[in-house]
Order: sequence, then C-alpha cells, then structure tokens
Amino acid sequence: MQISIRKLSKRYSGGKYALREVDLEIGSGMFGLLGPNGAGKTTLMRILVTMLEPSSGEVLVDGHALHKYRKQVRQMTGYLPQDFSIFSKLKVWEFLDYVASLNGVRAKRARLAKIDQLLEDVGLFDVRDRRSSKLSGGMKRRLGIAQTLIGDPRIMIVDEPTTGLDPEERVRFRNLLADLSVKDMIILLSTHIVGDISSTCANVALLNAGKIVFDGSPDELISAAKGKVWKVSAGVEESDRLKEKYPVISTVPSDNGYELRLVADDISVKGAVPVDPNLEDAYIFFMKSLGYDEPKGNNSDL
Amino acid sequence: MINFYFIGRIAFYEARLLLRSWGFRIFSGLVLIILALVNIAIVLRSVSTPYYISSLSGSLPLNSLKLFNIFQGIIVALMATEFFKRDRKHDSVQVVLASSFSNVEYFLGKALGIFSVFLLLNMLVLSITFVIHFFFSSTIFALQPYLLYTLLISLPTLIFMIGLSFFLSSLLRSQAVVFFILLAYSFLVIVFIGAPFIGLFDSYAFYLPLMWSDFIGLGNIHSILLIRLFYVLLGLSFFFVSPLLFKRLRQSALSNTVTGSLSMVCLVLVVILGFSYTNGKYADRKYRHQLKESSQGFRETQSTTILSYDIQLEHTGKKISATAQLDMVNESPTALDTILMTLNPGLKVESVTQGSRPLNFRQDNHLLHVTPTEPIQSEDSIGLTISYSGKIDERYCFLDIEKERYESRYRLWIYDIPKHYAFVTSDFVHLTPECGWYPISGLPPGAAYPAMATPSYSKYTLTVTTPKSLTAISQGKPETRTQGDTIQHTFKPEVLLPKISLTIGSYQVHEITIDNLTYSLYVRPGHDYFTPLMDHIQDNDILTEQLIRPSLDQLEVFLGVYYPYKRLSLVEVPINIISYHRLWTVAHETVQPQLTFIPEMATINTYGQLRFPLDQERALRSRQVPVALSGIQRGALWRFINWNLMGNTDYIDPATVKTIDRMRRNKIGFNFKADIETQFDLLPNFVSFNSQVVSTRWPVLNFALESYMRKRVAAPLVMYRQTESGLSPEEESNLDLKDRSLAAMITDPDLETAVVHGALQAKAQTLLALIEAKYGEENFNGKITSFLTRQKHSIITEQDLTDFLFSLGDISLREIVDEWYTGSQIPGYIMGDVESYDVIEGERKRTQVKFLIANPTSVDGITKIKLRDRPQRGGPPPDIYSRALLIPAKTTIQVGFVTDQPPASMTVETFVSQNIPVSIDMPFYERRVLREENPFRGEISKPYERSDLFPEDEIIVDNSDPGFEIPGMAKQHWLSRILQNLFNVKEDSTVFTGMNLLDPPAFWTQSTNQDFYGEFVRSAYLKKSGEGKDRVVWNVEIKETGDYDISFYHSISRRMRQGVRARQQQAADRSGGSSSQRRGKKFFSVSVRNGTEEVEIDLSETGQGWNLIGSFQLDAGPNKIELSDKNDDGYVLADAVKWVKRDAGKRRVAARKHIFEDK
Repeated sequence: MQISIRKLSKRYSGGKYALREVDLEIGSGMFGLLGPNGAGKTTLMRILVTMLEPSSGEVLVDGHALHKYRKQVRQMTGYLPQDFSIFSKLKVWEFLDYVASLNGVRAKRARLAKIDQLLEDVGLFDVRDRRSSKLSGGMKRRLGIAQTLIGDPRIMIVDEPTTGLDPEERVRFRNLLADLSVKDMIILLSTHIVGDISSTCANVALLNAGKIVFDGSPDELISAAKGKVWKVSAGVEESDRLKEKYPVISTVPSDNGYELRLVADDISVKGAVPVDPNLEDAYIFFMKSLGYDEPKGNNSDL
Repeated sequence: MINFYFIGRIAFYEARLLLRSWGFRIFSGLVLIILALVNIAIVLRSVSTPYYISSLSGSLPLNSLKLFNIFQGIIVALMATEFFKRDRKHDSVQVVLASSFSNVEYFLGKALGIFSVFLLLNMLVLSITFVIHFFFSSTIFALQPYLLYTLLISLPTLIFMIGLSFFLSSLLRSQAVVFFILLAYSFLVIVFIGAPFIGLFDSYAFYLPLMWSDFIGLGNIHSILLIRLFYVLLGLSFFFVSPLLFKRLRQSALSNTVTGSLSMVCLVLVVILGFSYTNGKYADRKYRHQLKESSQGFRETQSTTILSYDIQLEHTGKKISATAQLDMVNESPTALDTILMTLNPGLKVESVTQGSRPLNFRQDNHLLHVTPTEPIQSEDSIGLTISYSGKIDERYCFLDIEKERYESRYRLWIYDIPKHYAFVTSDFVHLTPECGWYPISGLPPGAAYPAMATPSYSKYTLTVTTPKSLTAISQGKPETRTQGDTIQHTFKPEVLLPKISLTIGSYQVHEITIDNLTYSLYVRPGHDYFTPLMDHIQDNDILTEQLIRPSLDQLEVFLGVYYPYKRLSLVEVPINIISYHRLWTVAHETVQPQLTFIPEMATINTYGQLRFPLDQERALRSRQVPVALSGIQRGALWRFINWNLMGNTDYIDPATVKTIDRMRRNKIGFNFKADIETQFDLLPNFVSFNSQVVSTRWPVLNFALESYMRKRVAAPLVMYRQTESGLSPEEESNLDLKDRSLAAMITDPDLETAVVHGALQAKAQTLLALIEAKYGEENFNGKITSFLTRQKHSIITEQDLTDFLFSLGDISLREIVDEWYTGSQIPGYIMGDVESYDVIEGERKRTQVKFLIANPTSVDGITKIKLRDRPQRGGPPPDIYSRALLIPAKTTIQVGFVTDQPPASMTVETFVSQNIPVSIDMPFYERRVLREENPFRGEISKPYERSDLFPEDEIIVDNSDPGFEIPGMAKQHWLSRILQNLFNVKEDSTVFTGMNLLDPPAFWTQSTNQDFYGEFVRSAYLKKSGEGKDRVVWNVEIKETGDYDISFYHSISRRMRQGVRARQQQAADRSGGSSSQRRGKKFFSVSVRNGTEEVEIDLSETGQGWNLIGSFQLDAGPNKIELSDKNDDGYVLADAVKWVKRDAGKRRVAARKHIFEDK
C-alpha cells in the first residue's frame, strides 16, 4: 500500500495557499504528520479522503490517481475528522451500523457482530445503547476510531485525534493506535502533539505553512538535531536572558535557579552541556530553524 | 450504476433521525391534533358545522388532506433545509460523506428518508380521518377518495417541496434564507397565486376542483392529472439538479451526467405538461368563442317549429347513439331553403332523411344545416329523421354565460367542485336540454339575442335503451321492456313540453301516487340518509299528503295556476352539476318539466341535512320537554320542501337573509344580487315550461313576467333586504340603471351578467307594479292568471300580450314597455309632511295618514305605499293597507289614507328610482292628539315646484351637496395613490359603506339610512369620535345680511337607537347614573359677523329631524359652519345643515298650508 503525493497544492479562493507543492510518499504502517496549527494538515487530510479537490498536483494510491478512483479510495479509507462529533439522536451501535452499511457491510448479522467486536476493542461495549450525545469526549474519540475501522479500511486517516483529551484518555488512545499500526495498512495520523507519534510512527513528516519541511523516520529527525540541544543551569537573571535568546524546551527549578533545556546551534554559556535530543527537541529545533517561534517557553501539550 | 442498498440505508437512517427530531415531532404532533380536532368539530353535532362541510363522501378526506398538505409543505421545507444545515455543521456527516457512495445516491437516500416519513404521516392523517369518518360520523363513506386524494394532493406536493427544498438548499448556503423563501412561496400560493392563472401555480392543490362524487368520481380527471404530474416532474427536475450543485466531489462522472439528463428530461416534460394544461384551458375558451361567433352569423335566419319528436336513444359505455324523427312546420312567412338546427358538436350526424330519401346536410360545430328536397313553403310541414352518435362536448353548454361566471370556481368552504353540465359515462348519464343532446330548431337559447330564447312546445316520445342495471328518468311515465342485458324505457309526456331531459343511473326509487299525481324520489343507493332521520314518520302517504300536497296547493293558490303535470320527481344528481341564471328566464337548468335535480346528498340545499329535528329533539329533551318526534321531523321536511321547492313562503329574519346571501355568493361563486335560493323551486313548472313570452322587440319581457309570478310567491322578503351593510342589491341595481336604459345594459358586452340580472329584476318589478297601478292590482292579478292559463303550452307573442292588455283597458303595451325598456332616466321621489293622527268620522275614531310625495324628475314613476302594523313576534309587520301609486313626472301629490287601525309605520317602496334607500320606512313615532276634522282620502296632485317641499327662504346644505367639505380629505396618501395606479382602481363616487355604530370608521365615511336627511339619497357621514381635530364644513352663500336660525339634521335609526340605548344603559348601570345623560354632544363652530362662535349641543335634548343650533347674525356672502369629531358617545354623524332667515318662518308655514287647500 503506497500513497504518493506529488506537487500537491491547495489554494483557497482568498488566494491563501494551504498547501504548496507538497511531495510525500506514505507507505504501510503509521505515518505521522506533524505540524503547528494552521500548517495545512487538515487540508491535506481532506484531500486524501476526497472531500476536497487540490488546486494542482496529484495523489496516487498504489499508482492510481485519486481523482479518478474516488469510489475505490473512499471504499478503502477510514476517516476520523478533527473535532469529531456524532448524530446526537443515534445510539452508539446505530451510528456504527449506519457507517458500516455505508462501507458496504451488507449482511446484518455480520455487521452487528462486527460492531460488537469493535465496541469491545475500543472499550465502548457497555455504552452501546447510549445516545451518542451522552458520551464523554474520550468515548466519542474512541467511537470515532471504531467507525474508521468498521469497513476494514486499508487506509486510515486520523486528524488531530487527541486534542482536548485528558492524559489518561490520550495514553489509551495512543495504545489503541499502536495496536493498529502493526496491521498491513496505512495509518496517517495528523497532529500538532509530538507525543502522539513518538512511540509508534515509522515515518514522520513535518508540515509548516503548507510545506513539508522534513520527511523521514523519527530517528532521522532526531539525528538532525543532534548537538543542537543543550542543558544549562542558570540563575534567575541568566535564565531570563537565555529564554530571550534561545528556544527553551523545558525549565526545571533547581537549587541555584533553573535548569534549562534549550535549542541552539552553538552556545557559549558556561556550564552548557550538550544532550541527546528526543523527538520533541528535534521538532522544536526544526520549527526554530524555520523561524517558527511558538515553542519558546513551555508547550503544555508536549 | 446506482447502488440501491446505499440509498435504502441512507433513507433508513435519515428517516430515523427525522423521526427522532423534536422539531418534527412537535410540529407533526400539533398538526395531527389540529386535524383531528377539525374533523371532530365537523362531525360533532353540538358544533353547528354547515352541512355541506361533511355531506359528501369525499369531504372529510379532502378537508384533512388539503389542510395537512399546507402543513406538510412547511414541515418538509423546514426539515429538508434543517438537514442541509446539519450536513454543513457536523463532522459526523463528513464521516458519512467520506464513504463510498455517489452524490445522487446520497440525495436519493435522503429524499427517500424524508418522503417515507411524510408518507407515514399521511397515513396517520388518513387513519385519524378514517376512524372519525367511519365510526363517528353520519357522512357516507367511500374508500376511493382516500386513495385518490393522497395520490393527487399530498404526494405531488410532497415530491415538489422536497425537490424545491433540496434545490434551494444546494444553491444557497443560509438555511434561514432558504426556509424563508419556501415559507413565503407557500404563503403566496395559498393566498394569492394559487387560485388565478387557471390554477397553474397551485402547487398545493388548494384550489383544484377535486371533490369526489359517488356518481361519477372526479369527473374529468385529465386536467387534474396533467397539473399534478407537472408538479411531480418539476419537483423531480429540481431534485435531480441538486446533486450537481452539492459541494461534495463527485464519485462518478456518469452519475452526474445521468442526473443532469434526468433533470433536463423532467424539465422538458414539465414544459410539455404545462403547455398542454394551459393550452387545453385556453383552447376551451377559444372553442366556446368560436361556437358563439358561428351562431352570430345566423342570428336572423328563420327556422322551422318542431311539433313532435320521436327519439330512439341507445346508451352504450361513454357514447350515445340516437335517431330522432321530427315533425316540423315552417311558421315563418317565407319559404325555407335550408333548415337550421342545433345539436351538441360532440355528436356527429350520420344521416338525415326525409321519408326514405337521404338529404344533404352540413354539420358545422353545433350548427346543422339540412337542405330539404325542395324549399319548405310558409305553413308547410316536413318530417325529418336524423341519426347521430358520439359523446357530449360540455364546452357547448351555457354559451351565453360570460367567461368570468363560466370559469368561476364552484367552491364549498375549502372544497372546489369540478363543474359539469352533462355526463355520459358507462353507469351514469345526465342530459339536459342545455347540452343539446337532441336537435333543436334554430340557434341555442340566448345565441341570437342575449336575453331571449325561442322555445317550441312539442310532443315528445323518447325510447331509451340502456344496460339492465340502470334506471332511466325523463318526462312522462316510463314503460319498460327488458331485452337480454338491456332495458328499454319509453317516455311519452302527456302534454306539450318546451324541452326534455334524460338521466340514467343506478337509482333507488320512492314513489307514491295521490290524486292522480305521482311523486317520485330517485336517490343513489346508499344515499338515503333521510329515512333514518324520519323514523317517526312511518306512513309515506301521510307524509306526502300532509307535507308536499299542501305546499303544492299553497303554491297553486299563490300563483293562481294549477300544477300542469301528472308527475313530480326529485332526482339526485352529482354535486358537479351546475347551472347559471339566465337573462330570459328565472328557471334554472336544475329544474326541468316534472323534474327537479337535487345535488348529491342535498348538499347545497337549504335545510338539506334534515338533521335539525334530531338536534332540536336533543335540546328539548335536555330541558325535559316532552317531544313529539314525528312533529319535529315533519317540520324539518316541511322546511326543506318549502325552502327548496316552493320558493320562500317562510318568514326569514334579516340576519338569515344576510347569512344566506353571503353563503350563496361564496359557495357557488355566483354573485347574484337579489335572489334567495331559486335554483330548485317548482315555479318554472307553472310558468316557464307552460308558456313563454317571445318578443324580439323586448327580449326581456319573459323574465319580467316570470319574476312577477315569482314575487307572488316570495313577496314578503323584499323589505327585509334593507341592510346596514352599504347598499342593498336593489339599490346597487338602481345605481347601475341611473342614466342607462335596460336595453343598453342588456346589449353591453362589458357588463357583468350579475349586474344586468340585478337591474333586470328591479326593472321587472317596476314594470309589473306600473301595470298593476294602471289596471288595478286585483283586476290585473286575476286576469293575467287566466291569460296564462289560456296560453298553456305555447309561446306568447307580442300580439298576444298587446291584445291582452288592450282587453284590460285602453292602454297600449308598446307605450308602457318601450319607455320601460329603452328609457335611460329613472325617477326620484321626495317625501314631506308625513303625519298620522286620529280623526273622528261619524261615531268612529279612525286614523288619518297624510303626506306629500313629489317626483321632480322628467320621467313618470311608480311607488308602492304600505301602511304597516307593529312587527309581530317572529314575523314581518303585517300590512294594514297597501297600494301602488303612480307619480307622473314633475308632479307633487298629497296623499291621504284613513284607516281603522292606527298604523305603526309607513313604507314607500320606490322600485327603480334614484332613491337610496330604495324602500323608505317611516315610523310614526308620536301619536298626535285627537282632532276633529274631516278626514282626507285620495290624492291631489299639482305640478311640482321646489317650494312645495322646500320654502324659498330656506337654505339647506346636505352632505352630498358641493357646499359640504371635509378638510384634508382630498389629500391622498402617496402609497394609496401608487397602489391605485398600479392596480388601475377607478374611484367610484357612489360608494357607500355600511354603517356600523359599534365599530365606526376612523375616517369620515358616507353611509345611507332612511332616517338620514336627503332628497333622493338619504346619507350622512359617520366617523369614530376623536379629539376634535377632524372637522367637516358646510359652506353656504348667504344672500341677505340678517338674523338666521341655523339647524342641523339629527338622525338615528331605530336599530341604531336600540344598539346605542343598550350601550348607554350598560354605561349607566356601571356608573349608577341616568342613561339619558349619555347621548353625547355635538360641537359646532359657526362663522358669524365678528368671527366664530362655538356652540355645544346636548344630544339628549334633540329629536329626530331638524334641531336648532341657534340664531346668529350673518353677513351676506360666504358663511360656514363646522362640526368637530369630538363626542363622548363613540361616533359622530354629519348630515345636513339648514339656514332660515328669521321672521320668514311664519310666511313659510302659511305658504305651505296653501299648496293644496286651494283645490
């Protein structure tokens, strides 16, 4: 299974580019699409699920042009949109039943069995008769995953699935995705939260302002940041000065002031120790190198 | 390839979502409750719902579905647009939309979902209606209307509204805007554009003629199907184009092409259907016009008189075939080369033979030109045999009826009934002479002259062959003979008749013969709703003897003519059968010799439901009054018979008259002014079918004679038609006749027939009153009766009439009728010095009534003076004395009566005159003291001078005089000006509005009332009382400086007084004060020598007539007096003001005394 994205651009009627000449190769397994809010992730997702037409470029699914084979692609795709909500008047199982039948699961018995199985898998079996409007945020997101899986998709596109979830639900959700990633399917996970993909994604792409700024494995991303992440102990005044000068990943209070973890090409500060970067460090490093300055200070979602 | 599985699943869940939506539940729940309540109200006896709302088997389902359809349209719009709104808002739909189905499948699924839910709702509505109808109502039941109305009303609208909603929702983003557009559209259709434009825009089928008849179903369903299919396809066209506009990437190019093409195909079909619908309607118009035109070419063509008919008719399926043997004579003075005849254009003439020789003939639409072997000389006879067959073309019927009336809707409440004039179906045939089912000589009635028909009285023999299960009904006693599957009925009416009819159908017959007269009632099986209601009258013989016979006897006495036939039948016919008033006869097509056609279930007959006895019984029982049910039931039947068959001999109170008038107008779409129910009465059997006046010089004379005869039966009604709501029908006719002759009105193609008809009726009354006055009422009454009897079964020519009148006295008919017919002026009368006082004559006390009446116009006039007693309880005031009074042109007459009994009032009927009100009712309020005097009887007349009634030194400015002015009245609001221009509204200077004192108008509005001042028109301006800012002004030119008495005319009608008194009493009761203090005040400003003087008049001290405002010193030249709208009594009346120079008063009285005392 391979999705090839070639020079894909999307320009909205106002003239603003949401995507600009994006090239990506997505193979089986989980693929993380990382980028800040407004980077163009959702636009890319919507193009991939045939809800939106690109302005130029093309998408090939196993070598077949997406715009010619919408029917087939829709058949093999499961989609969990951002801010997923459900018909409030339908019960949990009814909603899945509706989606299942639209995905071509015709035999009623098989459909119901599958629904129950999936509800078991995502831990919603006990609430199968509950109205969708009565579910918690996490439950809804799990129901969302269940509905993407109901048609046995070969491509699963999940847009910002963990936004707004509490840590426990988020962990649960990541585990769910991790279990799926071993299957022979493409899972395209778009997120602005690095933690969502660090453990599971074989490949990752960084999207910023409609452009792919990195495409490779998480390790490559990390190694690109090697030698650029430092740990510095500093007093209160010094730390303020450092925060202004460098992107700071974390600040931990210590006996003499603070212990800062920051990104810099080179640093001439006394006591600065290079450390091995992790994925978050690498993400910040990339964003910083592109002039994206949001990560200055703490990012609570990390 | 369309995937039906997906469509089904989408539909399933969309339906489920819709059913769970609270908006839908609440809305549809409310609708169901409302409809159930409406249905319950209709069938519940304690709610007095008019009978016609529930009389027919189709009424309940039609009512339910028509009302539901409107709600349905609105809910569909709301729900469909709501769906699209949801689609945009929720990402759950994104999940759905990311699935693999095409846009078309998605739309189809959604539409199917909505459709199925509404179908369910339809079923619920129908079930509720069915349960109420079948189990709880007395309305007859038929299943077909339920199915048909769903298919023809509800489903097409549903499909159309879904299509339209989807289309608009796909096109426009804002749900609110789409919903608003749909709501506005629905409103527009129901209120404005649905009914006109031949119903093309009636997407709700709210005005489509869809009433079901148990006899014939929907009748001609063709055009209904066209227009409903038009909406189905238009809906589909909108629907199929919607997926193309939908903002989801298409899944297959093919499906888009297919839906686009489908939309186009539907649109093309819509255009074709729309075209054939409108074209059909316009083609009908054109065809009728063509028929009329082709008649016109033969206006002057003479034809034969048919002496006898022998018609053999076979009814097979939807066709008839017939052979008619005619014996004719040429009564014209010249020889005839061609015989001109008329036959329905749908019937094709196959052969015409004279003896055994075939003749040349030409059938040109309805006209049949037969060339005999040799010209028929004057007074020669000829026998023809004409064979023809085919279907009846209904467009031929009522060619003389103008487009507006012919195309007007036949509507009972919200039920539109398809109009029909004749039927030939496999199980029902209805052929009246109007449809031309047998050949007649010459042109159709009314074709040559708009107000004349030339009937010939012929001997008829009719033999009808029809399937055995059916009964044939025609004139005369039928002889039947069965032949295999068919039955042959032969009818031979005993007397000569002007026409015959034929009705064939499945009938149940009730028949009895009393005194050689056979009474029959033909009712469709299952329609006998009356027998159970008449269960306490068991003996039919007694019923007939006690009810019908006495009524008929009474009618004979009133008319002075015997019922001329041996049979009298009532025949139930489909509700669709309609007839129109004609200009040459009072007879309707619903009445044929010996037969009266009663519309299905007596739906539009007064007291048709006969349910009244049951209600009355219940009311009495609840009051524990012992009731004789047979008496009550007999009463109900008597009422039905008298109201419908005998003209109106019953007393009707004014309120009922008004209600009936209003009902009739709305219901039937007729707009006739002066008739209470006249569609079914037996009068034509005595008059029109017996003999008819034929005069090319005065074509309307027959109508005049017939309406004179009618008045013998229905006289008491006239005075009670005086209404408070504007003008009475007679007054409207008088306004129409002002400056216009009857002859001019009849030949004016731009006039509405209703107007002509009203004028004709008014003129007819005048003519007969005139003749009565000339010959003496009783003398004329008796002689005209014997004249009519002598003229039995023949036409009455001008010569016959002239001879007849000459025999009464040496007065020429021509002289009277010419002026009556062609005169364009109408008289007007001024009354004065009306007084009533007691006198002693010999030993007896009697009452003297004296008055002046003047006719200042240049045409002779006729009035009827009636002295009346007090109104009796439940009845009109009886006449103490009544006489016609001729008032020649420019003459003043003093009239004196002496009566034994003091009259309570005097009424002057002015017939066709300039007077408004047309009937002046003057109560004698105060009785004068006894006077010793020689009573005065008779009339003294003198040439009219204005000073007879108006002293020269008296100046009166009335509210219709030029001196009267309403400041600010001329200013018209710009919006009203624009609207007036836009809709081309012409201002009518003679519009009076109704006088409603409980809710007086906010602006000065002219009303008429007999208590107001006026020479011919007794009018005053009425306004709701205000702050004193709105004023009226009477301007006068004073010739001589001096002291003047200024008076105003104070008037308040009896009815007004009663209402006001009641109100004052209430107010007095509340305040604890005296009611006499609450009559209000009038505030005048009088222009005097040195400025203005304000005068306040306490109305509790004023009486009816002239009341003094005061004496003022006035300068010669323009002067004025103003009245403000200030008053605490709710309203202000502004009538007339009078200036009299002081010290001239004595002279005036003396002068008046002298007018007649010299003689």
